[in-house]
Amino acid sequence: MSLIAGYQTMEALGGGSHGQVHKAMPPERLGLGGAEPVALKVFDRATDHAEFERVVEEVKVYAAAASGCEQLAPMYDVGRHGERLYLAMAFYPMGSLASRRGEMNPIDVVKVMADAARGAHALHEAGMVHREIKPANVFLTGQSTGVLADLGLAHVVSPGQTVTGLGVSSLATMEPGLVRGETSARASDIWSLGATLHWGLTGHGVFANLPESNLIAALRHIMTATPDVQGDGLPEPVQAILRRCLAADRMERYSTAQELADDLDEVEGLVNA
Amino acid sequence: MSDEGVHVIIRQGNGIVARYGAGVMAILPGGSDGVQQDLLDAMREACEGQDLPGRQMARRLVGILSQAEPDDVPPFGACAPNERGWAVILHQGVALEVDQDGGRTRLSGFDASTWVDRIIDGSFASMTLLPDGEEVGEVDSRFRFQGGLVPGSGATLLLDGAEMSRPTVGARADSPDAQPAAQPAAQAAPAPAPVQPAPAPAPVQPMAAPVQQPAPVQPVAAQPPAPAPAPVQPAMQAPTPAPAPAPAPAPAPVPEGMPADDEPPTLIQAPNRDADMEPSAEQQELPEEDVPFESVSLMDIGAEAKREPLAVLSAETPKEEVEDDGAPLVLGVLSPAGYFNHPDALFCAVTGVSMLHRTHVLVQRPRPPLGVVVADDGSTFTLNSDYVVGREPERDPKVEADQARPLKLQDAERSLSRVHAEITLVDWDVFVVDRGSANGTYVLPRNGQQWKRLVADTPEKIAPGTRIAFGKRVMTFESHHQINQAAS
Repeated sequence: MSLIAGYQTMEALGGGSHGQVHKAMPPERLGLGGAEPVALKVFDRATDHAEFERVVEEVKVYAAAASGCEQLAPMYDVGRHGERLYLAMAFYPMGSLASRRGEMNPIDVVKVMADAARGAHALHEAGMVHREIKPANVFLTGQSTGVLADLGLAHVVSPGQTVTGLGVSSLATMEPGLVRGETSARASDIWSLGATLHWGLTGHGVFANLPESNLIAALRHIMTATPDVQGDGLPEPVQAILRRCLAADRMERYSTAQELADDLDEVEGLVNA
Repeated sequence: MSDEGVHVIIRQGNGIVARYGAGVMAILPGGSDGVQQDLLDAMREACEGQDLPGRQMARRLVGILSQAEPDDVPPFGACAPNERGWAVILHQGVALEVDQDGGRTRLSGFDASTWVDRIIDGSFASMTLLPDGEEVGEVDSRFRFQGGLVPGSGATLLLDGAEMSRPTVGARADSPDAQPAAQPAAQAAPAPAPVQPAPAPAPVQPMAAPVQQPAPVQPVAAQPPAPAPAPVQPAMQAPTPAPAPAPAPAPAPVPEGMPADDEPPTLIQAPNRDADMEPSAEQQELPEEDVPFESVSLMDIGAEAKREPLAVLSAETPKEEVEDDGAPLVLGVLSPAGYFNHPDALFCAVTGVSMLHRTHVLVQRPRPPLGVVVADDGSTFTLNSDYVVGREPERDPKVEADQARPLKLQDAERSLSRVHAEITLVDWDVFVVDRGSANGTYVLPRNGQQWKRLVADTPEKIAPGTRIAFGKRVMTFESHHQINQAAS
């Protein structure tokens, strides 16, 4: 247990793409009441003041979007302890789509992803792209409800950077356009929502034979390969949604994450019909 | 070295093991049948009846590797003796463990983004080709593979008369202390596949089912009442709980491949993968408690902090609207969907559609990203801007003037200069320029055999697949632009 910027850290919740996330009790200055723990992300790398200021500008926009959207996890506090950046976010005891325990009904996965899509849409309407939508950033709030949490900040900390190198797993849900360095867009997150949905339903990524143990080979593969979701045995309505999320041409994807959420809401009726 | 002196034991598994003379090859499932056959043919032609086929084998296999479509080449490993020792080629998921001078070293095809080309000097006690990630385990030296093709996933080579430090079942049974009755054959299970007796080569057997058999998938609505099983151990779950590796500088990746006197290195050695992923204990720790902190509360941020909504794209959106306004204008061609590409592009870099039948009308548009550079710690930077690379590139005048971005690499060994080099983009080409660094900047093209030290302040054009060594840090340039080299 140690004290970071007034937070009493408890157990480690795991590694993210920038650093470690700890369960922690928040300091009084936040006025959260002190009874509920938060998730405190402490970045691995030292951050200088200019980098910190860019991160603050970015997370303020996230916080503004989250203030009016139940499907975005609240962010409470950002700061720098010495040279180490930290970010305090809501803690979800049920865990994420990646860390869920036991079985999950596929329809519930679809509903949770519809919530994540609504969260992404709120971010897009607030003028920002999440850039790191993946199973570990979609948290469960109930049996079939969820929130989108966290934010991809690699490009904010180091302009031009697309992958932090920490956590090759997140590559499987990263839009190829972002890997190639194209400007981020709604369509980037929509691709990642599709890849995350696919992973939630099948347990594997949309690229067959992605060499996950070799980052360079994996990147090269992603930059030029086309996702293939046909042979996964998913019902046709779900496959149709995935195709619209994962189209190589951004213009052929859903125009907005809200449209994707609307289609996901219809899935239960379609596959049971 | 004559092949009588080499004792080969098959490792069971899905794949093909070939032996011609003293040359041994293991091919794992994957790739295309055609390239698989090419590899086997090349191996046979290089090794059959030869005493020291190593050099010829390496040359033939590298020829196939460099010409075949990357996805067509199966993971494979091969070794054969040469004048100095043993030549080894490893591609993708095949590893080689060498038991030599009382120590064990392990190479993996994954150590290089292309392939590993190496010479094992002198003699060895044992050498095993095996799937990456597997342990060698016990080897039953009672078996002996004399030649031909058999199913398997690898092979162990013993030099007759050499001392093997690894426990071998056969050796134990042979020893006077062995208790054959008390050590039933079951202990050696799974026993290697019985090898067809020599001299008749074993018949080619069809390959067993591929390793990556897709797991049976439950359709979403197949069993409405019972909850369909969610994936119990999703492939991506494993990496998540592991401690996030800190961007630790890779320990000395270059010295072997980069002699100071520019001698041709005999190997292409990528930074050690395990070392890359080793979390740095120092950075894993939480910061000291008694240092000052600053905090910006996000509790009371309201809707006014939002930005303008992002543009909504649709099939009707003109592609101009998604181009990078700030990028310099270059000449290129448009793909069927209207994406801007290199004048000699074979495929659209965005959609992957073939460009072969496009009329070659050059237009001037903002340059798209030219690819990425990937550091040995996995951090990846997009090439849509020039970069100044170094330990402290932020104060370089070009960075301060916003003409280039800083690309800061950490380097505990101080092999990097504060401002070490630059990566610059000119039209559709990527250049590296050494900025008079103390330890130099080296480049090694894909399939290259020799690192080249750059002359300070002289730009060097690099092609995709080129590795760039800044001191002891290595970056790789990769690109999604597939260009007809013959045309350009």
